[in-house]
Amino acid sequence: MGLREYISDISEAVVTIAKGMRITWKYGVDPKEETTIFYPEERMVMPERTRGFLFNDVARCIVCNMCVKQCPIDCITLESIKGADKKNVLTSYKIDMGRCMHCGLCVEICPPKSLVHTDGYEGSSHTREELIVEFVEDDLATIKARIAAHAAELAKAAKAAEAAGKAPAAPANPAGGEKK
Amino acid sequence: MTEPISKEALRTDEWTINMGPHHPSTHGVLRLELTTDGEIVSKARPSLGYLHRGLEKIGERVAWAQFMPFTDRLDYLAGMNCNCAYAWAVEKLAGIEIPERAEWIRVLVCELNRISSHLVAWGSFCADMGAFTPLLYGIREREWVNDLFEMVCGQRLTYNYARIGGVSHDLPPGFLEKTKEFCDYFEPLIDEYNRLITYNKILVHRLKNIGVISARDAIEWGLSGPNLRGSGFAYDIRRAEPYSVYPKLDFNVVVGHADRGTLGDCFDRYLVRIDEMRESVKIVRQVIDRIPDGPVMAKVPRVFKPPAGECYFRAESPRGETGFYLISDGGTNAYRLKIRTGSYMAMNIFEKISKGVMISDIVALIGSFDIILPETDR
Amino acid sequence: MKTLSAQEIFEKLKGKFGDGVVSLQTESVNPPFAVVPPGSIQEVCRFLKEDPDLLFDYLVCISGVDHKDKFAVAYHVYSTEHRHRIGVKAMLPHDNPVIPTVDVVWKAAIYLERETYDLMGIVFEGSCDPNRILLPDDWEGHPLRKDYIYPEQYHGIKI
Repeated sequence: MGLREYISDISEAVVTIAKGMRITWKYGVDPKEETTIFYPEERMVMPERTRGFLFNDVARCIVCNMCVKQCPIDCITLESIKGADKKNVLTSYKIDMGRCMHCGLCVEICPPKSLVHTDGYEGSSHTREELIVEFVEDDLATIKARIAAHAAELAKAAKAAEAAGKAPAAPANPAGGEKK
Repeated sequence: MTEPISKEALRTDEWTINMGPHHPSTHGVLRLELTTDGEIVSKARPSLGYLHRGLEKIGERVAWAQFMPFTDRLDYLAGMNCNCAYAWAVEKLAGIEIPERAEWIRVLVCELNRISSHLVAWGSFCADMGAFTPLLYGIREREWVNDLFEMVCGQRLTYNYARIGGVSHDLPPGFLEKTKEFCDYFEPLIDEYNRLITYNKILVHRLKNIGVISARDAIEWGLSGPNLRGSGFAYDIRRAEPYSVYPKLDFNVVVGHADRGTLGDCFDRYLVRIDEMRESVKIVRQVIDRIPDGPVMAKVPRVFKPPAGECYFRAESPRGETGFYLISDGGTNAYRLKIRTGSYMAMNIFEKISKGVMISDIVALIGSFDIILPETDR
Repeated sequence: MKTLSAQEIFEKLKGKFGDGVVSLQTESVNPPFAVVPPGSIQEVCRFLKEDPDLLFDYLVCISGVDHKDKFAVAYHVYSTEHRHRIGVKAMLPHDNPVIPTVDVVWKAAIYLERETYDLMGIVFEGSCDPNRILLPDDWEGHPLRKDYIYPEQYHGIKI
């Protein structure tokens, strides 16, 4: 390498670095936009379709088991018992949020759209067990009592309808509490 | 008078050292067994499999549609490309026609994802070369694309957007305008990147004439995507074996042209990625102008059973050819699902071209191949 | 550039090897497969690569398939010059799946064959690198086989 080349190499390096540094400084001196959010105080507005944590509105859930079948990693488990009017009643609906990969396939397939993504994303916990979320709040005895009350109500209504001499009566289902 | 030291006594030893699996510049959990003599590497043997999750086995055990979220994990920087490639493959196998709009949407998100993937590739490559600023710039622009994807599918990394028969959601209102805004914002920035770092003398000197692969070798060793095009061979599956609506679009196949050093060196592969972002912006603009209205989902039965048969589909993803070889026995899940990825084949040639380079050039080589380990290990 | 259809490629193969090439599989298969006996896979591949009308210079993929009673090795090849493609398939017995390597024809086969050996247990005779690649070297069994039994432990680590 000759001296001329050597010097031109150095000068080119200086020029190209200066060019690059000019851009860096440009942004350093005059940042075009503020990008930092002071997180716990300020919060981002999540878009409408955000796939955050799952939430199941158990009152609307029809216990069709579709979400359980659709989940590729089997993180949803549900248990149900027969209700008074032949519909199943949830006794437990658990989602293991530690395993859930937020793919949204269960939400998409849910027929009554009771299972939805919320925009929640803060879910740290101390143990893995805390990440298993239970959506049914009542315990089994309460649910059974409610079913029994519903069955009695239905039977009463059927009787009343019979007494009125009308044919269409809701079929009563006294056999509540049978595990599915 | 002392005896002159013989050449034999001055002989240096060869060392075998491990580079990785936890090394900042191996882009993941790649381990290289380097045999070095001083600073010169005489052999670099990649040791893969630290991220092997058995995706092909999972594919045989879950239903066709349920495999979609796993394709996100194939190449986490280009989830859309893998999503769409899998969807196209299954549709080809089952002979499903998808709505026109869905095709255009897929091409749109694939090209946006190509931009964001190349941005990270460029940024991390420069970070490996000792220039940290470009990584921040790349991530800054990628944030735009992530925001766009979050609008359209609700996630920023694992999109799970494509479905067998279309896409999961139609584009949200205002999406196309925002995408156009992004294009206007992003296109001048590519020139800024070039001013910032591309022709920087230090970068050029570190990349030129390193890891030269001739086009003949690249084909022989099965390279694809930007790594093959960097060797000056114009082979792009979007052109060579067009799928979806790519034949209707106007774009150039970017090839390396020995800008500074020899044809097929690291610098050419670097430049191909930079220029490909420009082409992707061009495609995105065309899609915005021409995207038709209509449904985005074809009618696919809920229990999806493609007819028995086999199909190999390949798509151009940012890291080369993503191919799905699917065999169906008419059941609800795949009989065999084989994934061919670009990064895996790039590791194939690594042992060959890393002979006689310096250890610091190994870093340049890894960066220039833009490998991503979930894709090699699957 | 002269793109040939799968049938024409098969005719050429048939003309060269006669009965050495068994059949062409086109039924619901994309791309169509030429089924060849495992013993002649090297010659067939070399012919595919070197014949000026075929010039299959790009090996796209090698996949092993477990058909329960037999194994299949599927080679997908592509010609960057003529832009046509075809599959080549060889059927192997289930108890002793051994096939000659094609890494002397395409270098791309090295990693693809290693992967097929690793996950499917098909032995590529004469391969220049016949080691496992994705799994540890002391792993037992080949996971992608249909009769694979999942291990409980690996070196005392519960899986």
